[in-house]
Amino acid sequence: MALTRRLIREDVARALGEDPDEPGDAWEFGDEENLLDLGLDSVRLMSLIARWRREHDVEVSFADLAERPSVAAWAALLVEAPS
Amino acid sequence: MTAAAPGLPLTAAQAGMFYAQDLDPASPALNTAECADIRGPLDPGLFAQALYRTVGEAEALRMRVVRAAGGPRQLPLVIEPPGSGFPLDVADLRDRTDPEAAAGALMRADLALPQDLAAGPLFRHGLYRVGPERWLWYHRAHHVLLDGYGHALVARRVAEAYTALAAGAEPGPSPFASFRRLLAEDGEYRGSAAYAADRAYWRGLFADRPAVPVLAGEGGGALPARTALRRSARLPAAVTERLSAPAGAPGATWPELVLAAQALYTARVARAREVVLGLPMMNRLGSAALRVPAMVMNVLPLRLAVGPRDSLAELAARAARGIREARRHGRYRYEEIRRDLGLLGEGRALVGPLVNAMPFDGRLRFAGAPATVRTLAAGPVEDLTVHVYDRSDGTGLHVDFEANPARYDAAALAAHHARFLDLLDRLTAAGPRLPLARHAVATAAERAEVLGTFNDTAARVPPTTLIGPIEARELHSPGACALVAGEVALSYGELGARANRLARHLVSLGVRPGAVVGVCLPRSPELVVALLAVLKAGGAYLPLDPEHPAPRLAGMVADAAPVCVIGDGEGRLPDTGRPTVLPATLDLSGLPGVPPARPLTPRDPAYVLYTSGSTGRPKGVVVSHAAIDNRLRWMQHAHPLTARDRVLQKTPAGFDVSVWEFFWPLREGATLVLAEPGAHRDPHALARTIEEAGVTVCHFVPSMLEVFLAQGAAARCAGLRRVFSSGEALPRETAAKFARLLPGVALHNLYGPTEAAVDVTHHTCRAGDTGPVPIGRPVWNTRVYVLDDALQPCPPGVTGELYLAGAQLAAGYLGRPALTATRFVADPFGPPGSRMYRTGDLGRWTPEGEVEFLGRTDHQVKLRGQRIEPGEVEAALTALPEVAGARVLVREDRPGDRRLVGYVTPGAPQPEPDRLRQRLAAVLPAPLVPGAIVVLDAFPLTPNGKLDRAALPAPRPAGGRGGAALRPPRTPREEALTRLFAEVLGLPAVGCEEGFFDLGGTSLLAVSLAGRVREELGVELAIGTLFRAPTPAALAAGLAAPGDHAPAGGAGDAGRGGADGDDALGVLVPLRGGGDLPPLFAVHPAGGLSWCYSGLLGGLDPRQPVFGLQARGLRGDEPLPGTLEEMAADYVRQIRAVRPHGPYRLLGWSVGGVIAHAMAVLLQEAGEEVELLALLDAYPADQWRGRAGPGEAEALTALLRMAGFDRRGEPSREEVLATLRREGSALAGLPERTLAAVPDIVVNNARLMRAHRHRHFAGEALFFTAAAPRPESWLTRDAWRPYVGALVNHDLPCTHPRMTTAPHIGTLAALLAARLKELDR
Repeated sequence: MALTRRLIREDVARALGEDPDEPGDAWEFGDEENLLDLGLDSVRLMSLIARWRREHDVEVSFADLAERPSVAAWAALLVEAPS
Repeated sequence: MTAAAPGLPLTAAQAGMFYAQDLDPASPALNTAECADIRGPLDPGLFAQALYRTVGEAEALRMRVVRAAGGPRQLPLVIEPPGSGFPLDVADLRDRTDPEAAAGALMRADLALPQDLAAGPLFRHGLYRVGPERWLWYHRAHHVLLDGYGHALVARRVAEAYTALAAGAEPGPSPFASFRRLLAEDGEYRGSAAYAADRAYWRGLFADRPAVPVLAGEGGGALPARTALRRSARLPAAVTERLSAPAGAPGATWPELVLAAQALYTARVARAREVVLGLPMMNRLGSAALRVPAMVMNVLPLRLAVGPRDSLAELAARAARGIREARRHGRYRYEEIRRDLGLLGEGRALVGPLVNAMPFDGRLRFAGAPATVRTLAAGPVEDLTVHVYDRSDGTGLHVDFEANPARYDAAALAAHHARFLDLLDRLTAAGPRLPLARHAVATAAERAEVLGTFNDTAARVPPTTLIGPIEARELHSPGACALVAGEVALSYGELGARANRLARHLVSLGVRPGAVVGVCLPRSPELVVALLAVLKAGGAYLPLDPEHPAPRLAGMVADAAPVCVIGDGEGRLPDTGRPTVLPATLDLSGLPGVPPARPLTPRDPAYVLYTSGSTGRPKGVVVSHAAIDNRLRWMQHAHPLTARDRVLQKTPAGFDVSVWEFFWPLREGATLVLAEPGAHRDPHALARTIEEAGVTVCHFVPSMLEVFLAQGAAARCAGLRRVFSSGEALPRETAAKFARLLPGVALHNLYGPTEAAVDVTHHTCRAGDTGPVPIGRPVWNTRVYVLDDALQPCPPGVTGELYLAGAQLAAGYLGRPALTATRFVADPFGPPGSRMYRTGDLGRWTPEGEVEFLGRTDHQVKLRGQRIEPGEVEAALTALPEVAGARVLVREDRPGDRRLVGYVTPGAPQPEPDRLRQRLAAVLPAPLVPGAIVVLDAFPLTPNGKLDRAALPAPRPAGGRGGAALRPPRTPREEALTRLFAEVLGLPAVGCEEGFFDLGGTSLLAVSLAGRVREELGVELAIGTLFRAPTPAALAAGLAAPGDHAPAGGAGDAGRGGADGDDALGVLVPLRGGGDLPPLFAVHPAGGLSWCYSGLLGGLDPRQPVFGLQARGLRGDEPLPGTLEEMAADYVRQIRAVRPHGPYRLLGWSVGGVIAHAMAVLLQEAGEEVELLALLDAYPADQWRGRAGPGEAEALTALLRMAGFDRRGEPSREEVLATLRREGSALAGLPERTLAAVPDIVVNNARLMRAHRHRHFAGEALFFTAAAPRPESWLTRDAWRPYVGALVNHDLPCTHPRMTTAPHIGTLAALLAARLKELDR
């Protein structure tokens, strides 16, 4: 299954300790928001990379994601443009 | 500085590493290294090419670092290709017995080499073939070049390049981002608002200076260790799994859980509710640095509260929030946080253990050969670093402990490591929601040992009472001698009969088991009869010491409500409303001399002793027959008495030691020897009794034992067999002295509170033992627990609070059930229903199962964050021949001025406090040298012979006091001034002729004094006046009355200064004019004033005169000198006016040192002897030449510095003056023209200094280095070598400006005094 912006958001929320299935504003962060400020760290980043490699066959380097840590930047990098 | 220095600046992170190396250039601790284990075929030639290419792409690697004006610079280095000098060592080690070990040895040898940062290259590679298809790639780089993440970037690129080359392809473009962009990013940050905000954040967060948690003994010197000890382990797969996917804590990652576990471990071991841990951070997220192999990482301090009810999940979540918060301010350097907080240097840590989590993939692939990477060296270890890493090679998580060997030995490190692994296992297995208080830090084996093995004390005792065995003696050996008191002697039969008749009388008054009977008699046979009678009647005795104040006795009687009180009719006891029994007035001859019938059981109370309560109200401890019987049966088993023994009774009956003194010999058929009343305080009277009565066994409180040994009384006590000591910590020195003076006499150290029947642990001293004297092992049927704050048992070596359980516990506090319930609590380790007593004492188990006493939970000796063992200082003091006994404690006689004070009793020759301090300074680190030493004829003792701390006098500061100095005031003004002196100095009284600075006054205190004088007397007191007239008498004579012409130097005096100001601004100022030793001349620093040296006075011999030399032009009406040579010649003329010929003693700080050196040269050339040239962080002209001198701003900074403000960036003269006035600085009181002149003087001095050419001084220079890292890193004292005969250095853990402030000036004075003392001999 291809990675989508929505899946990125859900996985990020989960990595930050939020439950994306629960309604509430805890994981309602903006797509442009700096994920580091929300508690994203290198371990959580590594686990996201591993998950996306496993589940979506996405290859991306740690530096690529860590350099611009926002959902919007990652989506631009990882989500294939709708054909 | 105008011309750009060559090369590039350093990042702040690099600068941190540069200064760390600079502090100890010979240390290899800044070397970092990794090793890749390559399994498969490898072409060494291609590998070398891949290395060379990667180094070419990584600019940061090709640097060397040099000192330069304005801070260190990095200069590019040409790296030669492989075969032409590329730093790569290739070796085939397959023919070695153990190729891998051989490779390891090569790596270790290389890692042990310190690197010269100015030379380079600062990296090196090794490629070692250790098998047919196995290679070890070693990569070492100095930490100034690379951090761990940088190593990983390099390794990955080398593998990538090799793989391409092996395939015959050209490696792709460099993956690295520009090092210069990183430098630019770093520079931008340091000029940004974020930088200032981050700085404020960290300052605020640590404003309260939280205590640093310590796992091990403090140790190590001013410099970090050069090596580290390491323990490595792989976590069991199950633990890795539970940490990686923690049930119950879904948001937590394994680094957070490990951090939480370490916080818990540290909090428990350090007995802290909050810990500060250090977190190494990659510091690259969101930055270009992600693609730059360089040194970027940072260490962030994390404060973490650890509550007993917290769960691991909560603690991990708190840690995660803390890390998130810290990371927002994470670009601010750790070194700068420490510097901002004044936490640089020896013993001034900010954090406890470091927890370094490394989640990065350690797998590489070199074409067909897979490799895994491990870290060999990750940088210096200050205390302990916990490395947790996952190499992604399927082996799971690894936990390595790296420790500073100055603080941990291998066994201690192994124990901490093993316990932490065990704790991780238990924490995760139990589920992260369990309260942390349920977990002990001890392993199961340690727990079994400390609870079981060490407490294996079960012994069968018959169910008897305290009195039963005595009555058996009366029956079976009535003729034996029971008691001796002077000329009086009583047999067992006589004593028993008298006691039995009195007992029958007591029974007739209603005394029975459970009843209390007061006994108010001095030490006498009648006292012994009365105590026995109470017990024989079945009652519990309540001793009422006739020497105690009547109201206290009345309170005890009211509280205990005894059936009656036995007295002697001497009117000692106030009317208590209770029936009084006066045996001397009773005719009991009609009563039978055999024991009365009584239904007494071992559970009934035997005695009630009152001990002081923390709330001020004494509390009565009720002890049962069974408890004290157990104690006495153990004592007889361990140290048996025979009928021939004679036991001295000297302890007042109100103290529990008296219980065994009275009853043990009577139970065993020995003889009880009564000392005369009051004799317990007189060592000679005791010695006489011991000698004349043939005493074989006695007891001393350690303080009294020391007096006894010191006064030569012990030599007369040849008949002694055993001495028991208890009541306070037994100093090893006392035990050693005992062994010397009384060889062949056993010395037993006992410990126990009244609440546990006198003593619960015992240790027999052995001659030749060292270290603290343990309180030993538990006695029969007794358990000792060392528990942490969660009431979990501490493993050996870890300090906790002592809890006691078993047969000897008291029943409780008489009539105080609530108090009893707080101190006697359920014993979680004993049989159901058993209790344990909380002592409030601290202790730890030795590995052998003995307990060491470590003070009170409420009385820790800690000074400026440094834990001090007074015993160590006491040992150093008593090692001096002029000291007989020593006690060291912390006092706070002036609010906020906590200091270590030593009390000594004299040996021979008579001790001089100054001299003692100097000699201590020669053998102890500065924080351990007492700020004051007081000589006492004898230590004040409490009635039971303990040191009476409250009666110790406040120290009088160094200096000769007495005689005329203490003259009382003669005028109202003298009276007012002596009072104000005493108030400001925190002294009870000051004499009219005592000097302010001799009494410990500092320039800061002088400011306070000036303020108080202004308030009380309405006159302005300039600091200069105080230098000229430092005594109340002189000051009273010199101070103008209110309304008179204001004295010079007053803030309102803008014109020509009067006499006071003149003297304080003169070229030669007597800081202490009097004294018969050769004067010390102290030359002003750049600002021209020499008041900064006043802080030296208190630490120097009071007979040592000190003169300050001050710049011309301070009055604003003289030309400034044209050359430094001219200035030195002028000063030489000035000092020859007061001391025409040598030997001379010169000192100078900063520029003053350069001037002092020039003066020394001139004097020497004139044929004079210069016996002391002290240079206080002064550096020769050569080092400054060519560097820009200070401008106006720096000069103003210097002015602030003179006033004690270590601050930069004050923009204008007006604002500087405003600062001085606002802060109440004495300098603000200087005439305007002086303040205006100071910046000019600073500028002129800097100019003259740079132009100066040094000549050679043949003598020795005594150098004091401000050893904290400084921006002017190029400065080195070694630059003096061409200009002095010899150079002796002392490091002070401070910055240059702080050198003349407390506490460093005190250290400096002590070191200086030691040198002057040598000259005086």
